[in-house]
Amino acid sequence: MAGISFRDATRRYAGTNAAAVSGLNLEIHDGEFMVLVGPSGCGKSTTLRMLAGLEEVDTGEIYIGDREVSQLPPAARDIAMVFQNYALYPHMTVGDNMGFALRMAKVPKSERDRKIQEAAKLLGLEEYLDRKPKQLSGGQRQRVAMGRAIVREPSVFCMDEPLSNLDAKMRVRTRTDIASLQRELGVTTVYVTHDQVEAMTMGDRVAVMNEGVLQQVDTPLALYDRPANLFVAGFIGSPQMNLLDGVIDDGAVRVGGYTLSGTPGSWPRNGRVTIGVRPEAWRIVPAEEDGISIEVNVVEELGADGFAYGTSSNEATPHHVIVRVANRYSVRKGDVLRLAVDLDKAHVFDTETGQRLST
Amino acid sequence: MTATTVNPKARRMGRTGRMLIALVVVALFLAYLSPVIWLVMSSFKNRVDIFTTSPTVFFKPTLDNYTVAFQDKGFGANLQNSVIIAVISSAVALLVGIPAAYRLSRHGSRFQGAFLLALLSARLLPAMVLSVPLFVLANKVGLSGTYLAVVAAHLTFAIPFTVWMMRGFFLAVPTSLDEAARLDGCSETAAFFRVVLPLTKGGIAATAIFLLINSWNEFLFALILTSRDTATLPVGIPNLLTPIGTFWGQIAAVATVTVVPICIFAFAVQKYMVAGLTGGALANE
Repeated sequence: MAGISFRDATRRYAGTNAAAVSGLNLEIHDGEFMVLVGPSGCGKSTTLRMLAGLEEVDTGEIYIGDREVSQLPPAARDIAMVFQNYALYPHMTVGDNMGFALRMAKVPKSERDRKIQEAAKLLGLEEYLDRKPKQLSGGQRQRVAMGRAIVREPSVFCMDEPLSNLDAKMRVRTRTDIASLQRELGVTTVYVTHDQVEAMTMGDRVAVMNEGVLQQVDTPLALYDRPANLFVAGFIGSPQMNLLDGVIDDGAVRVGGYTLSGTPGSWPRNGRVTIGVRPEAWRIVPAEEDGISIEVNVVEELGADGFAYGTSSNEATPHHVIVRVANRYSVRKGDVLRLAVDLDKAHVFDTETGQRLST
Repeated sequence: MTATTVNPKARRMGRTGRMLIALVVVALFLAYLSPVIWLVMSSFKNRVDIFTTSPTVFFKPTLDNYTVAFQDKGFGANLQNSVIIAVISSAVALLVGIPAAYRLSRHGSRFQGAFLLALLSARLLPAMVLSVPLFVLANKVGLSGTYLAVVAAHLTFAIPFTVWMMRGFFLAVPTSLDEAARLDGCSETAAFFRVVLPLTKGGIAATAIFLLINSWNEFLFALILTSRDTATLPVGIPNLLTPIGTFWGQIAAVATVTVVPICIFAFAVQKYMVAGLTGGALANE
């Protein structure tokens, strides 16, 4: 078991200008569950493949523990990987699939069988050991892929969107299964997904990437509460954070004609800013109070709470505004809502650089 | 389409309709097969039965044609030559073509497309165009009349064919399987032999069959590049058209030995041949 350290790791594909992963610096602690998340093409999979040795590291280094691994072949890195399509060997039985790495490592048959049995028991695969992957359901295949990684007792697990081929219900169940299994085994895990819900629910920490650049690394709640820039603010959270155009005028933050109440932060006295407001951060206030008005177009009732999607007539705010409505049936389509937000619940970003200004 | 799907038209069609179709199919089948039937029957007939003006299905069979052709006239040697040339050229094509095809299916480079086209372009020329240069070349390097000359000539077709065919099968094997094997402790070579190759067994069988049949049936290159000692069966047959007459019975016997093994072979492995013809199109597992 070991921690992982990326030091200025860069990967550039031949014939492209922008690096797929550019100057990545990331420390992953021993036993940590790290999720790499971002939209497609953000470099998260390339990062994982660089770690596994399936992709070259053009400049920079990668350490597993205190070993520099960036020039080692995959076989020498002591990494087990779960692939998006599971990559089970179709011509081998489930048992042989799980034992393949041990056979390559010349582990004696008796010990091999014992380890396969153990892993199969842990994953509920005992009765399927003699079947071929083709004879299994999607969920079972997924577990075999997990089993193949577990039996090896590697220093690192790499998982590349292992849930994306499962149906919605199975995905939620397997999500918690994988997270608790990882905690039980305590193996350092790097998990790639494009689904921010998966990232938030599974990771000890989450690394958000965009266009080959690491945007922010932190615990899921810290990412949610204090996004470092506009990209993270827009990416993390469902429904999305509302991003409104505003200005700082002599220290006070204004959206259109509405001045947000609260103590100003230590930001510049004047300038253009973007104000981020989570749907649950809005207060619905009486029409005569200060705020912005929206007309409700759609109400999404989720049971426990609901979200109202509205259109604002204020030129300074985006066309669509999302607000959480806690009480059932309190808001209907066509209603006009007056919304206000306190400065300490809002996120202020520099519109030019996208960087966070509020503390 | 699943096996349970029933064509609604077929269901409406009555018993007689289906009988009619079966009759047409059988008639067509016999029409296509008739030259082969004639050939095989002639090979067991004596001279009188072959030339009779009222041929019959029932006659007194004889093995004379076979014994004369293969024992007295030396067609046994031609048979041996055919086997040697077909087996060696197929084996070499597989040994060279399979690793090349694997490489070309895995590592995309800028020149890969051009290389594959160049490989194919040799096949765009009619064999006749290549035959004269090959003959001159073989003479210059002193290979004329040797097995090596014919094998080399057959390889000009066999290697590109193997590369193109096997590349399709390798492309159908997801790269993540090689990667999984490499993470499981295999070198690139070991991943190929332990994971990728076993998955393409069917494709290799199909390719091998096509290679064998091609070399076995090939006439032009074998004609110009072999000598009396190295001639294959198709090349040897014209020797039975002599100034003192054409030995139809013996021609039929030699031709039967040339054709029938291939027919039986093709029938036995037709499953693989179908897989080969449809390439990787169906392999989604």
